[in-house]
Amino acid sequence: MRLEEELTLETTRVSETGAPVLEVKDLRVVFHTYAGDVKALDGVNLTVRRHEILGVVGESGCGKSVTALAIAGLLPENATATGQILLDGRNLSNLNKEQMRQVRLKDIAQVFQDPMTYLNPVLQVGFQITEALVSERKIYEKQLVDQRLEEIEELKKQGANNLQALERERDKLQASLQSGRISRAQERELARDIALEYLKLVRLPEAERVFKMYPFELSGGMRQRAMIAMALVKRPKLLLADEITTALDVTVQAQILALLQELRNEIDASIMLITHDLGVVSEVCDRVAVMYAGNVVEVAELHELFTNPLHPYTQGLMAAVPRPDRSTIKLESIKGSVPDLIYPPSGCRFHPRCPKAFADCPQRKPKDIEASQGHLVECLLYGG
Amino acid sequence: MSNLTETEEVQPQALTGRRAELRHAIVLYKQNPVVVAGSVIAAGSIILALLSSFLVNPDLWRMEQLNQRLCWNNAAFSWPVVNIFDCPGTTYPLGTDAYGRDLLRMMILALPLDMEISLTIVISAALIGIVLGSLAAYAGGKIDEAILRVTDVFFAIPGLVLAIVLMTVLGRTLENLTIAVLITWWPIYVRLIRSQVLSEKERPYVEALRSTGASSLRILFLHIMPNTVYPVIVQMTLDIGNVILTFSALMFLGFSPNPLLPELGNLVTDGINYVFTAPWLIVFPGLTIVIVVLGFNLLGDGIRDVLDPRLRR
Repeated sequence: MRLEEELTLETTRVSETGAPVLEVKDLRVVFHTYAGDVKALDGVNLTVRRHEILGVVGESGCGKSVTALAIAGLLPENATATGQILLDGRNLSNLNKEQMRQVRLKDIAQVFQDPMTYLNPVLQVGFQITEALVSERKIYEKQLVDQRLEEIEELKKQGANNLQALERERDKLQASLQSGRISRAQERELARDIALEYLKLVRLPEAERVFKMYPFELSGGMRQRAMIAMALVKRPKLLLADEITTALDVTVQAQILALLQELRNEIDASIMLITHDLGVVSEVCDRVAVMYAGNVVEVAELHELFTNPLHPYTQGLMAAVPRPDRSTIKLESIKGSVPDLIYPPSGCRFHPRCPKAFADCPQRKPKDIEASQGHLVECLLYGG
Repeated sequence: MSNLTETEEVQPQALTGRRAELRHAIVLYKQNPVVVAGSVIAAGSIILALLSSFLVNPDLWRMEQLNQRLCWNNAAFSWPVVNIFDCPGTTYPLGTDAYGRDLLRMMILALPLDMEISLTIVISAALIGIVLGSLAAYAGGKIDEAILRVTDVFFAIPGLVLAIVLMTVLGRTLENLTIAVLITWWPIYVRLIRSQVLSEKERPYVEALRSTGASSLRILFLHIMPNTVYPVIVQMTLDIGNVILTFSALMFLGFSPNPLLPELGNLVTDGINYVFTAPWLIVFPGLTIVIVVLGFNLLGDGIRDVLDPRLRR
C-alpha cells in the first residue's frame, strides 16, 4: 500500500503537460549486417511533451538506445531509418547531415551511460563544456552575449554585491554587440562564465576548480554532473538521457535523479529518460513508455501504468520487480528471452512469450489502442 | 542529496589527483636508471649542440680548408705539417686528422648539424603523418585506401636504397640529402597515426562529441589528436637517433656534399682512409654516433614507460 501512496504523491507533479516537443511517428530502423537485416525498430510511436520527463523502459536490446540515436541522427552507417521525427513541428528525418548537425548543436542534447568513458581523458572538463558553445562561432556569438546579458540582469535582480562590475560588463557587451563582432578571447570568457553557471546549476561544488580539472580527477558522480552540464549548456529543447544512472552507485544515482527533476523545473527542457530500472522510472518520470523488441507496447502516465498495467509484457515486468513487502521466495520472471530481430516473430512480437496469447496473435500486428485517457496499449487483447 | 556526501565526493581525489600523477611519473622515471642515462645523454648532446658555436668557431672547418688549398704544395707558405695525425692526448685531446684539424672541435661542430637535420626530418615526417594519417583514418574508404597504397610503395623499397637513388637523381647537396631521407621516412608516421586515430575515433567520447554537434575537423584535431600524441612523441624521440644513423650511413657511402663537412658520418668516412695510421679518426666519431643514437633510443623508451597511461598501471 505504501508504494501506491507514494505513487499518488508523485503524480501530483503531472500538471502542466504542454504541447508536444518531440513526436516520433512510425519510426522503423533496420541494421544491415552480414548475418541479415536486423529490424531493430518496428514502428515506434512516441511523444515527449514540454517540461515532461518521459521514461522509456524495456529489457536490453529492445531498441531504447536505438530510438535515442535515431532521434539525434547518430545511427551508424549500416542503418536505415524510415518514419517521421518531429521536433517542435520540424521534421528531422529529411534533413541532410549538416542540417542534422546544426540540430544537435542547438536543440538536442544527449547524456550517455558511462561518464568514465564519455569524457575526453586528456582535456580539461571546462574546455569540454565550453566546446558546445564556442564550436560554432557564428551561431553562438549573439546567443552567448544574450545569454550572459540575461544572466547579468538576473544577478542584478537578486541583488548581487558587485553591481558596478556587472553593469560595466553589460555596457561592454552591448557595445561589442552593436559593433557586430566579439573577439575570440571575449567569446571564450563568455563561454567560461556560462559554463561556470551551469556547473553550479548541476550542484558541483567549487565550480571554478572543477572547470580546470581533468576527468580523471573527478569521481563518477561528478563526471556525470559534468556531462549533464555539458549537455545543458546549449539550452537544448530535448535532453536524451540514455541510462545515465547505470554506471553509478545507488546513492549517487539518487542524487543524479533528484538533480534531473530539479533541473526540469529550472531550465526549459523536456527529458527522455531511457532506463531498464523501474525504480528509476517511478522516481522521476511523468509518463512511461514500455518498449519490447522494437515496439512501444504501452504508454501511460506514471501512476496509471504502475497501478493498471494493461499489456501482458508490462504486467510481467511489474511482477518481476522484487518487493520486500511480499514474502515470495521465488522472483517472478517472463519466460523465454528477447527474440532474434533478424527473424522477428510474426504478428505481435511478444506472442511467443506471452501468457495470454491466443490464435490471432501470430497473425496480426496490433495497433495502438487508447484504453483510457492518455493510456495507449498495443495488444490484441484490447481490440488492437 | 545531502551536502555531506557531495563534499566528501570532491575532496580526496581532487586535491591530490594531478600532483599524484606527476609524482607517480617522477617515481617511474627514477626507478629506471637506463631512462635516466638516456635522458642525460640526449640532453647533453642537445646542450652541446646549442653551445657549439660558442665553443668552436663555426667557420673553422672552412678556414682550414682555405689554408690547406693555399698552402698545399705551395713553397711560399709553410703548412704546419706537425699537426697532421697528432695522437690523441698530446696537444689535442682527441688528436687531429689528415688536414691537421682538431678532431674534438670538428665533432663539436658536427653535432648541431646532425641534430638540426635530424629534427627537421623527424618533425616534417610527423607533420605529414598527422595530416595524411588522420585523413586516412577519419575519411576511410577510397581516400584511406589510396594513402595506404602509397605508403606501401615506400615500405616495399628499402629506405637506404631509395635514398641513394633519390640522391643520385637530385644531386648532392645537404638539402637534397635531407629531402631524400624525409621521403623514406614519412610513411611510418602515416601508419602510426592512422592506427591511433582509428582506435581513438571509436571511443565513446567521440560519440558524445558528435551528439553535441561538433564538426568532424574539430573532433579530429582538437579532441582525437591530443589522445594520439604519446606514441608519436615516443616514435619521434626514437627516430631522432635513427635519422642520425641513416644520415651518417649515407655520408659513409659517399653522398657527402663536401668531403670536409663536419658531420659525424663524414668524419668516419674521412677517417677510414687512415684506419691503420690514425685509428682515432674513426673510433671517436663512430663512438659519438653510437652514444647519441643510444641516448635518444633509451629516452624514447623511457618516455613511453613514463607517459603512456596504458603502461603505467
